[in-house]
Amino acid sequence: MTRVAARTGVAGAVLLLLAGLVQITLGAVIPDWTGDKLAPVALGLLTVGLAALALLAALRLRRPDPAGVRLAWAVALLGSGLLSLSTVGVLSWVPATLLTCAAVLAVARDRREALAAVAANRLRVLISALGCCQLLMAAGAAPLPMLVGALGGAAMITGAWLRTAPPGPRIGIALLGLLPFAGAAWFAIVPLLVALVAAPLVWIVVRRDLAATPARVG
Amino acid sequence: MTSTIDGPPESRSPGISRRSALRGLALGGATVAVAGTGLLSYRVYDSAVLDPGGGPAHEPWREWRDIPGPRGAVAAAVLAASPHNTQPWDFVVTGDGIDLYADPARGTGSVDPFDRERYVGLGCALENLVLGCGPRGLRPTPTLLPDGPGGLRVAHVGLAPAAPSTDPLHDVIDRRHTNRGPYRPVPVPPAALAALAGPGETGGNLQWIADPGPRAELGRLLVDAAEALCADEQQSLDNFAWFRAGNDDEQRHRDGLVLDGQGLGPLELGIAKLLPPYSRTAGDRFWIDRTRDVHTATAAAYGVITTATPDDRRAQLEAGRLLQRIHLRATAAGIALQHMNQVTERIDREASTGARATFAPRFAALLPPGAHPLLTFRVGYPVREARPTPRRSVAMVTR
Repeated sequence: MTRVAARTGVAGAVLLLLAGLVQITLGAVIPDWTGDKLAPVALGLLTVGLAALALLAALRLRRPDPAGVRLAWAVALLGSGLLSLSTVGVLSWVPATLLTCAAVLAVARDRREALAAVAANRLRVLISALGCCQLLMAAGAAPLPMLVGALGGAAMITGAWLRTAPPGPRIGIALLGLLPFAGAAWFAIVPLLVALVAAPLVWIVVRRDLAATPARVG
Repeated sequence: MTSTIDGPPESRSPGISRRSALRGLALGGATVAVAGTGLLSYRVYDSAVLDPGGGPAHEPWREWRDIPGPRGAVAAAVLAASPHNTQPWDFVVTGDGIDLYADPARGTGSVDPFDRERYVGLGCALENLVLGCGPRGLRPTPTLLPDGPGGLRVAHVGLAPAAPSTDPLHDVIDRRHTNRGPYRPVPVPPAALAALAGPGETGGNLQWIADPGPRAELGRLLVDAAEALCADEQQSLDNFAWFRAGNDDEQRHRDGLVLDGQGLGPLELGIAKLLPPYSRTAGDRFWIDRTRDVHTATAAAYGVITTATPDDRRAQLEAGRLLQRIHLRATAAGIALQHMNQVTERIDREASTGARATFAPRFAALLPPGAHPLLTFRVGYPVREARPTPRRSVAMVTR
């Protein structure tokens, strides 16, 4: 099943890569197929990036990693597929379906371990979900809030999984994830809500991680 | 803690289960909060709350200056005012000029039963079309109603080469938006009002109603007209037909009334976009409330364009041209303007249905004898800038 998941993922990633290249080169010529996007080149480049992430995830599925790591790669496959639905229009339907199937197949074999991994990292998963919310809002924003939201969302997700980083960078990343987007896009209310919901979760996770890190001596 | 550790198992279990329950409750609550935030985030994305004025529906505002020649003049024309943002126009660029046609499908039905507002809107487009010629090295010669008053071709603008010229009104075409927000509680000086009409203006008589008594009376009349219009189901339906509920609708139709054009504050607008679309009755209520609490409550003065021949198409087109010039001059002077035609819409509705005239005598009492109101608007210094509304592109309106 692992091999099938990996192959399906690679097929989906390659098709997504082609869709991204078509969006870059022909997006304005065949708008009915590419979603009639305002910025086909930028969205094509984003799709190529998503395809690269999906390809990496599909290839990593072949390795005998722990269930939690495999789950993370499955999420990468699923996320790439779902996001591509809003970047390349109809061209994303086949690759998004393949990537979704690959993600399901990847976690089907060791679903119990995957569920246990989720249960053990519930707060990190919730923070990552809020980071994804921020990325989603940024995807539909004007250029400045888009940049701020993309950086903030990535910081929130990254910060949630940095268990052993020193306190300074961890707090810096947490603040980067929470504050700038909430400040730049306060009028949409939800960015403020994301920050309010995420702040206590981030605080708990950071505090726990710092408490679990052995104190340095000398 | 000591007692818990040392105590018998029976006494320990309630403490542990309570803690577990609280933990589970907190985690469940956090999960629900994250899920709810996720749904709202999608709403932000789907409603394009973070990209106001974005998308293809607003491109005509950004690209009109860069389009050369006659098509550039059309690009200026599509940014003109029109009733309910119906954009009731079509253009044909010919070898010797540009023809402006009325689009009969783009009407507001019982709201404008005699098509007066539609022809005024066409006059607004014609004015922008003429203004758009000079900077593009074209000398315009407009001819109104070349096929007669019943023809769909409402104007022909002959074009001849000329040295490019500048016009301050042309330069503010993309800054002119109807401002439905609150205005500051300061009067517009009489000299500033007089300057809006311009020297030697034609196209109708402009009456200013700025004194507190008549202004309050016209305010009451406008609120009453809004209530009557909403109580009239057909007019309410025809009004609501041009309301675009969400970003998808806005980008698809590229016309009509949108939340961004309602003059709401940033927070109000954010909340309004997150909420489900308005129903017709809720939209009617919103409009009546805004008319009473914002539009009439903060108007510094009202302008009324009157004519002796309100049924004459030529007079309607000329009044539209005058209205567009007034709005552009107001924009250049930092004065906000909002079109408020519900009283004349009720007057026409009563006339078209044979109902007893209730609004015509009340409006006539505020105007000089013999003056027939064609258009009404309010002016004032704005609290906040107005936002652009969606527009169809040059390609979409040119045959």
